Amino acid sequence: MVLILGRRLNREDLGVRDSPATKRKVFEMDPKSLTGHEFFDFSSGSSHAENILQIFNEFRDSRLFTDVIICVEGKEFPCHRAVLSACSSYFRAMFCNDHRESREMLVEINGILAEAMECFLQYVYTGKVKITTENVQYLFETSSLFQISVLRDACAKFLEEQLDPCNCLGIQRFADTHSLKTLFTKCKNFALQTFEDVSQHEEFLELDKDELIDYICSDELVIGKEEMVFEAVMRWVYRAVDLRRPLLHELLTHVRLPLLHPNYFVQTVEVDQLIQNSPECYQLLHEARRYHILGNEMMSPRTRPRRSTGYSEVIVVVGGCERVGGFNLPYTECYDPVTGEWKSLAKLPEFTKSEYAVCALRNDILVSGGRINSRDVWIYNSQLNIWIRVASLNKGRWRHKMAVLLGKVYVVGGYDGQNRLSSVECYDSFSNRWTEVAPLKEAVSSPAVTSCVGKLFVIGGGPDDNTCSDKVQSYDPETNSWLLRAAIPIAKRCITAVSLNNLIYVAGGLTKAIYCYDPVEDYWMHVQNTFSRQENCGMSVCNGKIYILGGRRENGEATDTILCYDPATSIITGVAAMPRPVSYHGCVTIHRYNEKCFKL
Amino acid sequence: MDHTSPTYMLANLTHLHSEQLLQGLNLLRQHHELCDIILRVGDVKIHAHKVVLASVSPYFKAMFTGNLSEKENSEVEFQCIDETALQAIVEYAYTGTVFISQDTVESLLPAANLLQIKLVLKECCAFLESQLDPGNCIGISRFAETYGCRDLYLAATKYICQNFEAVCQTEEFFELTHADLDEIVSNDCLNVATEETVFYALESWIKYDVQERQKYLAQLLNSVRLPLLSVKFLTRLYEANHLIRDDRTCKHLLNEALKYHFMPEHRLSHQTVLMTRPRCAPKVLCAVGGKSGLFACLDSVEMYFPQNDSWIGLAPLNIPRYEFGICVLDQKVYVIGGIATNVRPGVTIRKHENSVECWNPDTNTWTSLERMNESRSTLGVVVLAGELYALGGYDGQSYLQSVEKYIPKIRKWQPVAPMTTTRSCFAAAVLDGMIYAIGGYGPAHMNSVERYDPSKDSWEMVASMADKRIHFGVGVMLGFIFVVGGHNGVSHLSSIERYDPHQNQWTVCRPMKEPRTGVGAAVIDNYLYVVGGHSGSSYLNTVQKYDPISDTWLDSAGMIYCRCNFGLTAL
Repeated sequence: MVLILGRRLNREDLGVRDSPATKRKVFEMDPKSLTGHEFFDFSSGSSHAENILQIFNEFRDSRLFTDVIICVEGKEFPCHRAVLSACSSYFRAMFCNDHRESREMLVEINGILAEAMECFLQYVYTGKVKITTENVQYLFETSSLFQISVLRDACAKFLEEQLDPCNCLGIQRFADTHSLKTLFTKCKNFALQTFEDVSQHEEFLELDKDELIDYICSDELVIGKEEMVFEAVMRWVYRAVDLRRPLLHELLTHVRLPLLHPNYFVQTVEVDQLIQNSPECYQLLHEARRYHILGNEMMSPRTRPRRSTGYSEVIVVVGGCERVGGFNLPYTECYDPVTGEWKSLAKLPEFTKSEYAVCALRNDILVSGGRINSRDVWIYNSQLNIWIRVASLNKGRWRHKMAVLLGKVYVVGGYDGQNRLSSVECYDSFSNRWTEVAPLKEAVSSPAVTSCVGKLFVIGGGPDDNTCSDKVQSYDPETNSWLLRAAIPIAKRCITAVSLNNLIYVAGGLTKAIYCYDPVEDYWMHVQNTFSRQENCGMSVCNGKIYILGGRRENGEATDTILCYDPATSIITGVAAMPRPVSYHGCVTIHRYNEKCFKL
Repeated sequence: MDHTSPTYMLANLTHLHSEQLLQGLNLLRQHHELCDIILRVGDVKIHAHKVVLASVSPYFKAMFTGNLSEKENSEVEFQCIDETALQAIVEYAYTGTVFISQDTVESLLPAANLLQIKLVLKECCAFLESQLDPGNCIGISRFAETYGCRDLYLAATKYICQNFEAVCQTEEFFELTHADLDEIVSNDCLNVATEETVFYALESWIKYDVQERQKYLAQLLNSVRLPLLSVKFLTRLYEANHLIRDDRTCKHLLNEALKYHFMPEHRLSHQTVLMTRPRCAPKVLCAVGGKSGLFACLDSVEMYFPQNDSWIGLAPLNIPRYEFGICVLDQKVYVIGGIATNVRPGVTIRKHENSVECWNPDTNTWTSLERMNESRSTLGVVVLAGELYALGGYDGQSYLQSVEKYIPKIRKWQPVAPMTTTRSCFAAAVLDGMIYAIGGYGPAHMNSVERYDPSKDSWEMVASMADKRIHFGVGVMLGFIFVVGGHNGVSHLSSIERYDPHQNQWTVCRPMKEPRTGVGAAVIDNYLYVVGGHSGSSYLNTVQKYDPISDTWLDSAGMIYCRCNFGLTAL
């Protein structure tokens, strides 16, 4: 060793002796060369760092320069303080501050496993580590403790790759505990996507109530049919029935019972002992039964299909015309607000008529009357995509409206070419007959008509060619009688109304205002403005929001705009345009099956 | 975790992790945290971690694991390393980055050498090599030798030889020791236009300090290849240079050189051959174009490597040619005039050319240059004093005796004095600063020879060959002009004869095994290579080489193509 050093000293002497001459000579350069390459800056980059890392590991194996022993579960790991401190804030704090550990040769660390420490050091000294299903949890916790984010992230990534219906809920809980947002989100999405599988596993039955609700309330839940959700919920409840029985009602409010098959509802749901013994659930059962009878007339969050079943709520636009005196349109098209897609349906027959009335009866669509004095009535069957002619009106009319109340269709008012009509007819689909019922108190054409809280409401309209009515007429089918209610703030005709959450919303009449009426309180309020004045526009409720489509402007031209009003936030936004400008069209909402959505 | 079939992921995060680790260590160093060693140079203290220094330097590893005293265990003092260099090396250990410049490399290289940091040492050498310059190459060479940087030393030595004409005018040159100078001047690869440059460089070195250096004159003069100097130059040295005239050994060397010129048989001794090896002698043959059949004209080019005894193909001519001139100037091959062939459907058009093409061996490409004033085929072409001469030939209508030369600096052809007679199908050669025009046809077969003195711009007749010759080969070596093969008007020739300019006499040597006309000839390593041609019955691709010392013929590998009336040169 000394001899080697001696040789180097000799070399240094030699270098020194020659240095003065060399110094002067080596760097004499011609002026023309000075503009060239005068310095050289190189970086060995990653190869340098990786080479050093390899040598550090060799030093560790040989116990060269090791200056601390980390003791975990009685197992000792010789290490280099500088190396540990360089990559871990935890160790830097331990060794670089004036702690007791900073001077100790032996440092004991509690709360982690020796195997995890071994893997951790393997990573520190090589950058490589074998992550397995057995060690990932402890390795993650150890790397979190020691604040090695790269290794921690690698563990999280490994867990992502391990996702399976039988473990995703457990991993999600693990992610939640350790604030791993990406992994948490991924687990949740995975569970939503594989819910039918996930709900078969033990982990599912160990969810707490809020976690379970978080899944079953989601529109994105992927199921073949709503029955799967019901069965999953019941399995969960029966798992610890004494503790979970009181939670049944709250859970069932998130199951879309109205969408269950009627046979399944009768044979499985209603006969369930737990449900039968829970009076608080009766209202939900009642709602489902009403839906089976009344169809879309009965709307609630539970009547909205989950998209994974292939069904979705769509707005159907029926007929209409382009402008005053313009062409009558034969088109029947449906619009899915979620996807923004338009799709053509069977064309409206006898489209030479105009100013007819349109409504939805269960999942079908009725079109009645029309100019001039037509008595014809057609039903569109949404399952068969065909139009079927049914019984004619007793009295021909146009500029009338229709609404569905308690499973029956009511035709209200209108015009016969000479007089405004007070006539009201009622259609029973079971007997295929129209029957006269009590007439309006005031004959009007072009009113807004909708049903709400078990009654039919006729709002505004035109009693004659020159005036508008501000009257609100309410029909009670039980007493077959009409009452006048609080007047609409402005007298209007050519207006449209929809009913949502036991409230009535009215728009059109060449005003910007959207009005809201509470039948129970008999009170009107102005809730929002549209962006322009229009009349004879279409209105429909879809996915819990009110859509206003098309209509005619003050200059007589039709418009193709679509507005979306959310009563929950009172925000109105413009959304995509219709395929063409249209007014005097019908707008209804139905459920439509789309194989594409299901496969997606 | 749930039970699943065992699965694992082998996470390889080495790249990212090692980078982060190194950055972390550098941060610790900058804050002097956990540092366990101080390197001291003068008043400067450098804090570091032993584990890091040991990982990049075997020197440090040995130091830190040896049995050192307690005092030295935490602090080490360096006396023979520059402080800036040591700082740079420590910085390198922690970052993998080092800044090398003119100002730093001189101290950085010795430090890297001592501390055994090979990569830094390697990069310092690469930097110095990139800085080589006539003014510093000798110093760098010495510096490299001092620190055992063999590759750098070899690169610098090569640079010195390649740029000798510039180097010999620098201050560094005059400070060489006599042994170093002797070594340089002895090098076969010394790049000089003439041996006179070597002599003048040597003379300048001695005159720089005559008192101290005169005693080395004879030894150094022995490394100059005196026989390659002309008789005129040698005579002037003898008469005018008193340093040489007064030294008996020098006089002896001069006498030996003069013998080379005046005693032809002396040139063929083995010892003399060693003394007369040309500097930067040609190493390969280049065969260009020519004819390979009655109507087949070639544009192909191929090269011969003696050490492999093999030929390879190169980039072709821009146009197929034969009966053109060929030469080498500034390490490039020039193809001049000749007959170009342009083949169109059913018709072959031949045209006598004044065009010139140049081949660059670095890029393996041909480019066109300025045209001659006259179209010439079967012309003679030589290079003399950096200028290219085109002699005589045939322009398609008449035989020519005119001569023009190409001056590269001004890129123009200029006429010079015409030959005394018209010549085509002849050979041209340069010997002792004179251009020789030999034999040919114009319009009769000739054996006459004339030579051109550029200082007088005139031609004079010299001794005639034994045979009349056209379409023959020529080569110059050992102070002789050799001519080989050709046709004498009656038959194809296999004879070879040589010319001694001092005795003005031709001597017949041992003939080839078979006759060759339209043959190529060139000299490598004192062999005359005789290539291709036509035997009288067939086109040839065979090669023979003539050893003048033993007066014997040897076989060599044949060309890829048979060629006749083509260009052959050595470079």
